[in-house]
Amino acid sequence: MAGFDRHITIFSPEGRVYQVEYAFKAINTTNLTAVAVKGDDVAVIAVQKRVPDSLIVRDSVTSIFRISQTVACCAIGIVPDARFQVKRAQSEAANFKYKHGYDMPVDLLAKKMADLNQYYTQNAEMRCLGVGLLFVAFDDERGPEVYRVDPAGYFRGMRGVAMGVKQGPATVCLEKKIKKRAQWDSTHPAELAIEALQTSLGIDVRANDVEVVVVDKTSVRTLNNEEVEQYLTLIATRD
Amino acid sequence: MSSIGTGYDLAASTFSPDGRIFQVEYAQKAVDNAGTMIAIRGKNGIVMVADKVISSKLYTDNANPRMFNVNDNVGVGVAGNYPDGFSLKNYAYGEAMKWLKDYREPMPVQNISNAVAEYIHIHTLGISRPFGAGAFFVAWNKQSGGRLFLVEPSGLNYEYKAWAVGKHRQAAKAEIEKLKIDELDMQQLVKEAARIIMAVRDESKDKNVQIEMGWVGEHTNGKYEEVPEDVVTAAEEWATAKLDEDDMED
Repeated sequence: MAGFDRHITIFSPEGRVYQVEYAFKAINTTNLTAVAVKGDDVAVIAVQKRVPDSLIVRDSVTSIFRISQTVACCAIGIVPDARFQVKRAQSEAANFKYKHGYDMPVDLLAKKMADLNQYYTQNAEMRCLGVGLLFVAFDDERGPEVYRVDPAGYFRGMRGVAMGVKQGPATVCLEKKIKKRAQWDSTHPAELAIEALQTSLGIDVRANDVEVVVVDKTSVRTLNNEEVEQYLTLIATRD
Repeated sequence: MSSIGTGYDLAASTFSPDGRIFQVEYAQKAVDNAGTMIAIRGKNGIVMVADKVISSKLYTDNANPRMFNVNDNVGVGVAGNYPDGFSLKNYAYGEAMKWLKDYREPMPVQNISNAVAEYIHIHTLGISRPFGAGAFFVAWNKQSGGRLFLVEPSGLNYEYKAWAVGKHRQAAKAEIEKLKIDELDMQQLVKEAARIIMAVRDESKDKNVQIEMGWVGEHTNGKYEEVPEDVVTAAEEWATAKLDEDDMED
């Protein structure tokens, strides 16, 4: 049976589950990086946008999806797996609203998606999905929230998080800026997210190459090119 | 990073150590090695052209078509493994009928494309084998103009201005990019599309091939149809003449 643990989700003699580890590698398939940050009034996700070919219609390539009236998410990794998870999340959120009469809180949604991912790691019928998920929402009891869900079925609320190919450098940048709650200055989280993305990529980002979604008390919306441009200018002039 | 998936390529339920799913990549090869098919969105319509291999002289004319109507307005062109493609066409047909029953209006092309993409994706999860076929979905209406979608064996689904799949896709794409497709009307589009398919053929290897064409646009009032035989023949003749002319110039 040696090596069989690399084929389905069973333990190796060292206690590792190789297929789940390989699923994490699959998140880097599209070579994208996403950064999410929460502030006092808003939560933000900034993600690279890369259109694989000039013959593709730009609007059909996106990593940002609206899950419900109050929740948005960024899904990066194997694109069809990402669409599958988004569809499921939308379905779960809609079902919750139908059954209980109020919008599904993002922590419950994140938990549900995480539990699904865990199920795939323990059952042989389906493989893990090669997708990392970032959820943002404005919770009416807790304010802006960011959640990260990974293929292993682990999920946590985060103040700031990076995911994807350059998550290491981006996390380092975030940790520097989000040191203490008290030191939270008037920087808008969108500025911070875009800056962390730019620093981790090591190049100057153009407004066209990044998608930003902002969630506040009343709305969920993606920023248009001009607004992204404003933040990029702010970052450039500050340095 | 190895391109050989030995050991990790036996099931779609297995990731390789680099995070790839080899069964899905192999399914994509079924499309990549099959006959070329292109789809181009022009000024007021879309044309699809497939290079069909006629494997036997005993077939009736137009046997084993590659292009079909999903509903009156939407056409589908399948590439790759033929039975798999036929199965996808039937699934699309079923989804369109359900939509019509539920909403009492024809299913829009993007919804059809998304539904088929999700269906194809489910087959990449390890429950059964992936589909060795991809499909173009095309439609045209007055409000949104022409829309062209491609679904691949991985379940990937994007909207395109023009695209090519199959054996000679690289060469075909290069030819397409030379054209200003937004300015071509349907008559020109049909001729250029025929020319591209014929130009990228490998004369020594591609024997017994026949062109199959479908179109939808303002001139068909948004209804997808097979291109009439006389138009196809005229386009082929124009294309042959043009290619000979280009050859003489070289």
